[in-house]
Amino acid sequence: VTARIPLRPGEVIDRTQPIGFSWDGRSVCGFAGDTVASALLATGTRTLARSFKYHQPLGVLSGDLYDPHCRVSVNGVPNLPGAHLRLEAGMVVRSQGAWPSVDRDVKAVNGLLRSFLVPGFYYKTFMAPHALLPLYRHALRRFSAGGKALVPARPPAAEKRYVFHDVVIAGGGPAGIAASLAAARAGASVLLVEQEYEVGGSLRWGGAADLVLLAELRDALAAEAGVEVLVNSTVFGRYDDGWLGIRHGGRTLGEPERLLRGRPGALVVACGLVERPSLFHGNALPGTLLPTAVRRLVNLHAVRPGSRAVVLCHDDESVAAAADLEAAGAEVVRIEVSHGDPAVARARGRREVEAVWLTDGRRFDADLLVAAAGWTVPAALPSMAGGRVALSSHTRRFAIDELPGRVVLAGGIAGAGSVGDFVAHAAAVGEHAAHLAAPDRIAYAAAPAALPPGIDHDRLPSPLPRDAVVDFDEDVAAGELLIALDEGYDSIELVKRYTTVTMGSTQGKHSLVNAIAVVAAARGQSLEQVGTTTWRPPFTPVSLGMLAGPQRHPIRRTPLHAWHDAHGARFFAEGEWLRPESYGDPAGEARAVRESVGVIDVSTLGKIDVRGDDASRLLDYLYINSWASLAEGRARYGVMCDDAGIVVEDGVVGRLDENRFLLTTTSSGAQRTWRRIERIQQETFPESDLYAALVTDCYASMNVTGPRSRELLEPLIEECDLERDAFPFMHVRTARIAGVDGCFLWRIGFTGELSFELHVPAHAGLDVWHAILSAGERFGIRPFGVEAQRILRVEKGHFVVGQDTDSETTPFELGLARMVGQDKGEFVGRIELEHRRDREPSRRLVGLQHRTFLPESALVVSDGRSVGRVTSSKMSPTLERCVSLALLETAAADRDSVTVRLPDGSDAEADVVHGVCHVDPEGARARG
Amino acid sequence: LISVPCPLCGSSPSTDFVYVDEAEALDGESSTIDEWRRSLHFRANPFGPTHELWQHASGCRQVLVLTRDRVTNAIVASRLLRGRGGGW
Repeated sequence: VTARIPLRPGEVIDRTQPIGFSWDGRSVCGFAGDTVASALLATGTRTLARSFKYHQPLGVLSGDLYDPHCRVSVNGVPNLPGAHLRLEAGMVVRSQGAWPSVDRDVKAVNGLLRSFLVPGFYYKTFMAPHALLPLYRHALRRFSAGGKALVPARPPAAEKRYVFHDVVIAGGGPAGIAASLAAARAGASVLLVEQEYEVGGSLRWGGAADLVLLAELRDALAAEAGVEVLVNSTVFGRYDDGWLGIRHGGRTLGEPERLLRGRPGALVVACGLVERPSLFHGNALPGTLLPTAVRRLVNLHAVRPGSRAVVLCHDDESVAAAADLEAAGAEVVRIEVSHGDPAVARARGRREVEAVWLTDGRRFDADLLVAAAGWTVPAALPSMAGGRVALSSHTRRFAIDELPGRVVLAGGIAGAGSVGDFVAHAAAVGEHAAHLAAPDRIAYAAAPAALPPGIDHDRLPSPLPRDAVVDFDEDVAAGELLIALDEGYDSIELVKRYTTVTMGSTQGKHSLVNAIAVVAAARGQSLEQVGTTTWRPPFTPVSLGMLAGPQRHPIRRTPLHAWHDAHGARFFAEGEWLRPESYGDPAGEARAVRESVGVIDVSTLGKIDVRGDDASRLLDYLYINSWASLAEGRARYGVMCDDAGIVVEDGVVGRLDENRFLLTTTSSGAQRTWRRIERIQQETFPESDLYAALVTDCYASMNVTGPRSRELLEPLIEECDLERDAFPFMHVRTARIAGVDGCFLWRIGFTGELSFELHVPAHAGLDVWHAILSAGERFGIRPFGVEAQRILRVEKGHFVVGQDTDSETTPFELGLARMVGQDKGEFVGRIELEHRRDREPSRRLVGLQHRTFLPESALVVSDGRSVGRVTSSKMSPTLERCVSLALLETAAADRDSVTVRLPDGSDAEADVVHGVCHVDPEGARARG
Repeated sequence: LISVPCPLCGSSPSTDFVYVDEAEALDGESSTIDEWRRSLHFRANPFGPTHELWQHASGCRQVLVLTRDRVTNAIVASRLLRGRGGGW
């Protein structure tokens, strides 16, 4: 059986290019330009899906992107619009929601249970007994609607794109094209977004005059350089301050969907109208089509959707549909409809329409019923933009007003008229929008006079057919809305949530007005009194993969990265930085530091250069400790708190001269600390002599550490005496290192050994690194990674802010009471810290030791409750035991041993090391 | 993604800025500990305009005082924090 008809003047199929695809395992052939649905209809297949809840057979309803009926899975990508998707060779198309097939669906048993499957059915039925919930869930999942996502089928995410056009035009019908041309000719850059594969809108499936106009508009558009045209694209959302989300491409084989974003100067909404279905018994049966769907199938795809048709002629579109059907060779019964009378009372048939009854009692045998109630204004974008949208009892359409500036309407959404009226109006709108977008560049053009409102004359049938489907996505019938009202869900927003009407993938484009009308009739209210639900993005479905896009993160590499990479470093990410975790043997690397000498790349350490007469005042405000007394050439450990007295950042600060300090911060805290300094500078010291710059990237930093480090460095260093008395612990010097000028040399380190930290201009970093390694050869120098440093710092009892502290840790818990400044004026955290100064802290950081490993985050328990936790833990190659830090309640911290609860449930008795430090508590090695 | 006006740079997407805090200046000098804690942790969260600090981190790096309406999300005023003085 073929429903394909001879050549149509506007057809988009290419009869010279047959395309084979599979439909539920069956081989089917269509033509290039066919949609999945038109190709199936052409072969006589009329049941394309099963409905969401009752598994009723479904065919084509609106025959476009919005068609709620024919959602299909293609090559494992579910829920695609089968009436929109173009055929591609080799597509594997499967129907959804039916088992074993759409023709014989055992789940249709749901239809027999119709009277039980009322709104709230699942909540009402499957609540008790609670223990059975998992079982219910398992069984119900098998009945859930929608296709199955096959994960590997997802095409790779496309790069996102930003658009910077003056004017974005949503909708490429005659009005959208006319507005684009006018805006571009006025001097604006224009982005025209059309959701079908070609621009032209309703002209494409129109008559001879429409096709002439279409050709004219397309030619003009092709000749206009100022318009970028995107097809198969949708403006799916308008967000704050005019931010637009646009989906582009995708939905087909292999091609990923792309996200475009931008904030154009003006938005023209020209998305046309959506035909509104009528409510009658059997309005979802295959063979009940909207007039536009008929016109599209006949004129674009040369498919005759039925051979014996009943067409309710209530407006130009339905009259034209009847003419198109006759031209396609169908037998057509035209029913003249005036003010909604007569209407369809019922359509009946076992699997598809077989007979039609009208409200005036007439009955016809037919396999095609073409009827609509009117038109819906798709108000989503204007509503998202902040416009007021109200349904009018007079017009039965949405009226839009109070649009924000720079959002304008064109075409059917703006009112009623002929195509000529729309084109003239839209051209004026386009010029006006161009001026709105760029008033300093483009001459003023007034907004055109409003178009008269479009009016529909349909009436709800009385009595209301309870099983007429209102929402085709969600399979919600009119009677279910009444049940929701009966149960007390008396606002349209509640009816929506209880019944899920308008919540499906078409977002109420077909159902919202009918749902409001049903609620209004049942409650004896006007449409205005019922009000509307809220429109939210997206306008049409978008894929999550598109929103996510390819995930890209900036990576920062230190100046020494290439060396690490060539020498077997295992990297890890610390914020944006890549750092060597180890060179394969962290314990051995740590041992080398304790026994001889090692070197680590610490370039990621934050460095901030602060200068000016008021530099020490700034530091006093920023840190809890005092800085005025710090002599030139000395360094001091500093701690920053927040207003609540919580430790947020730490690091060593060196005073290079009277008015210059170099601050070091944690690797991840550098940006945050710099912002903090800028705020204090601007807020508290606005008139001061103060300059702060983040200089982390300017230096390659390396720490040479271990008992032999001084010996190693002596031959490399000029302009600085390394002897202990000349350059003691916690001092800083400028120096020439391995022939490189402008270096800083610090006597600081994180390992507890004799340490020298070198800050070398970044470009010379690798040279100095090589010089150190070759000078260190005779001492058996080992480069070490962060893991070895972690071992060394836990052995030494150095805490890390954020790991060994939490959001309640004050300096007092860390044993830093002496650092909290007295008599230095205001500083961040002063009030809390002064309040707490003489009070015993509730917790304290201590060291723990044990034979076997105590994992980080293990709880410390006492009398059956938690009294703290292990915060850092390493096996110590020096002590050959596990060394840990733990934040414990004070009473537990005072004991000599505590109980640690291990992950397997067993307990370990750990020794408490008072004063935190496991190795060299006197600090003699570091001072050496 | 709202558009944030900067007195120096003009409007930019909010991703160019870092939200800092509410802008109500905390009075460190005269507070008791209880008043201080209340002002830190109990925020007014008004239904309407509120003053907030944002830093133009990917721009001029100035800290701004924005007056943002929490109901409409409209930013009705934007000025430099510079020189406000007072506490952190």
